[in-house]
Amino acid sequence: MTWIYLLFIFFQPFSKSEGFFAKFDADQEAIIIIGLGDLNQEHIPQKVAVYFGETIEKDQPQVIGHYSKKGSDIYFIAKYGFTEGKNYTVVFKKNSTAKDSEIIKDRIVVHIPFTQREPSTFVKQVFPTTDQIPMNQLKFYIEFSAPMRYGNAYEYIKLYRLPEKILEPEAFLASTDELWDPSRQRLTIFFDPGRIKRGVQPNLQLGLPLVEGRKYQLVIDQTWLDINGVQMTGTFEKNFEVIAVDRTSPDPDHWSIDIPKCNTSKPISIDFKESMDYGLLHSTLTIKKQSGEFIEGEIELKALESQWFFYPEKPWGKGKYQIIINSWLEDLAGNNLSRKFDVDLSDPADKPKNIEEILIPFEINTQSDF
Amino acid sequence: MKSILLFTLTLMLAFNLKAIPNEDLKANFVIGTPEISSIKAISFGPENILFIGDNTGMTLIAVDVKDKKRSSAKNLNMENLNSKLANAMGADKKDIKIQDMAVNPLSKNVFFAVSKQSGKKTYYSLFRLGEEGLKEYSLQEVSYSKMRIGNAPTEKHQTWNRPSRTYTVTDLHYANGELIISGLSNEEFSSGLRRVPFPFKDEMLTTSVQVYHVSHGKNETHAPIHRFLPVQLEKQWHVVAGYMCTPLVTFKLDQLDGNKKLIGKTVAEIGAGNTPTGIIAYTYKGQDFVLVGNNRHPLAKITGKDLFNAKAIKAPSRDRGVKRENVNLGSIAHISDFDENQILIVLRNKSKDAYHLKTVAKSEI
Repeated sequence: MTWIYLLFIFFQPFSKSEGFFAKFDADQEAIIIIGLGDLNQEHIPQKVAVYFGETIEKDQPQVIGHYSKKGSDIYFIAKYGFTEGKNYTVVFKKNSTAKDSEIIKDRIVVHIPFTQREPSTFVKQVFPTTDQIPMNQLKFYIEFSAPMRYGNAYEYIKLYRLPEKILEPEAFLASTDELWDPSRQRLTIFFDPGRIKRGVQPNLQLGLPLVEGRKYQLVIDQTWLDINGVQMTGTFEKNFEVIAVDRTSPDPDHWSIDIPKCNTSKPISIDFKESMDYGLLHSTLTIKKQSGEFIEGEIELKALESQWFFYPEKPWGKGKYQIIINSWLEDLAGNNLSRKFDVDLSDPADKPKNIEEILIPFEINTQSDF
Repeated sequence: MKSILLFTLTLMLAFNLKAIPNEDLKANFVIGTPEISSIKAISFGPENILFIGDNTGMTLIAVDVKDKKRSSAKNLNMENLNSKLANAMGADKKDIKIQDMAVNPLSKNVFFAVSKQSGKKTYYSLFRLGEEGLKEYSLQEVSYSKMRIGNAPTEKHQTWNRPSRTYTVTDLHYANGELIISGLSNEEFSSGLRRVPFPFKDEMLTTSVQVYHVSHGKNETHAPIHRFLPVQLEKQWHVVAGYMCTPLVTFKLDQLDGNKKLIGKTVAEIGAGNTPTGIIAYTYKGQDFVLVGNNRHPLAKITGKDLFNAKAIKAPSRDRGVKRENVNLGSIAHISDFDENQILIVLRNKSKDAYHLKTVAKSEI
């Protein structure tokens, strides 16, 4: 096939076939067909067709798009875009009654060039950042430096048992729906929860995907393509050790709160004393003044996501405030403030608390030292 | 769960979920081009109405497709369906994904929702397979109505730094005057079933259903619903739900009242490593059936009567639970009821690169 591509290089930007030409115009994102100026606009769809590829299969549908005449040239704009690096065949049907699958009189192959791009995207971080993961860890968040392609994520995510580097198959729930954030820079992957839950079949069949005391490596492969279709700058590896199963809900009585002083922009912070879920730390906590007004600001997580810092946009004013924490805030094992991930109904300690939110009142009344 | 209930209450106005008989379903439809940023799930209601779940736009759209009834079963068996859809979108098969399939019960035309990734863009398209073949179904200048489903957590609470929480529609179905929607969150392994009265009135009721019982009712655990179907069992409306990892659970539809955590009846576990890919129901030779299509396990065939009478399973087992037949048709990517005598499936081949459309006679299932 190489010689065909060489031919394209020689014959680009124009390809010629019995009186008509076709070329791809990257600026216009259109295939321009030259030499069929005699065709009226309304006859174009009957006489001209564009197909994906350089060979046309029986019953292959035409590429959906719009033909328009500009002077004596015909512009074809593909409704769903052209694919870089691929060939398209422009067909001129001399006999407009001919079916698409019949012998075509005239055709020209147009190559859509690749836009050369250097790899620049990388995995910024995998959360949780701790290297001590409970045996019933529920999920990982993978954060990328730029938007990624979706659809085949699980081909690029592997879990190995160390030190032998044995692949742990089916560790993650490779559902048909990939769970990206709106910017497509953060992917959520769940360990197969069926293997984490007590008494359900996958747990009984396959056991836990992670075993206490063992070491593992999560590998995110470089060949995963970013949104531009370019692979990443490198493969990302996260090594971690598995610690005991966590079947306790986070307990606010054990947390410590650090309250800033008045007229400063210093953060208020909560030390959860354990790593918490990275995503939910960004969406379950809010701060309200007694007057009901929400406080705007920025969040920072520290100490392996066990500490939450909130920096207000404006300095703290004197008064009473509340931190409102939605009860669906989870620890690493999916135990939230109201209930554990899975509940043993025969154990009174497992009884869900049925709370919607936790309110932590605090008062700012000390004058600033500054 | 409670938080989801709270979310429900914040959205829910006092409204009556009962369908209004003889209401003109298209009374509030307008002519135009609906703004759609993604097409994840599609399903047909009555009167040629196609429902579209738009994830990124957080919107439900109802379109009058104005179909003409097909007079033959032409074009219903199609090898390499994914290649044909890809080529029409100017792409290689690896760059597209068949998101969903729906059969219009009136016309028997088959609709596909397809996505294509190209450079920085993701395109979404609808195709209609009729007697004339596979054609794009354009949403330009159609008769439609829409409703935003929103994402309550970010509406109720301020979100700092970035809006990263998403809700992915996994399935939607019309039944008895309302649209029912299941979804997945990217931050919790949970979801609720949402009920939206149709015609849309900007009203929505969410019931927390992510909890189910396992092992003698001793353990309660939570998981999202991946596929479901509203179905009449013994003349009562039920929801049959296929959870991720892997129980099959039934609820009575009127139990989804938005006011409490609902624990359904776990009637079966399909098996490890499997995702339920679709649930359909039909009556054949006077008997009601429910079929659960799977990507890793055989199709499960259950009679409506057995499903209605099924006892909650006392211990997890693939063999126990509701009486069912396993019908091995291959890896099912999509499944729809077609007509009196046939169902329609999209089968994925072993190397996972070819998807074939196939009719299967109900007499052979």
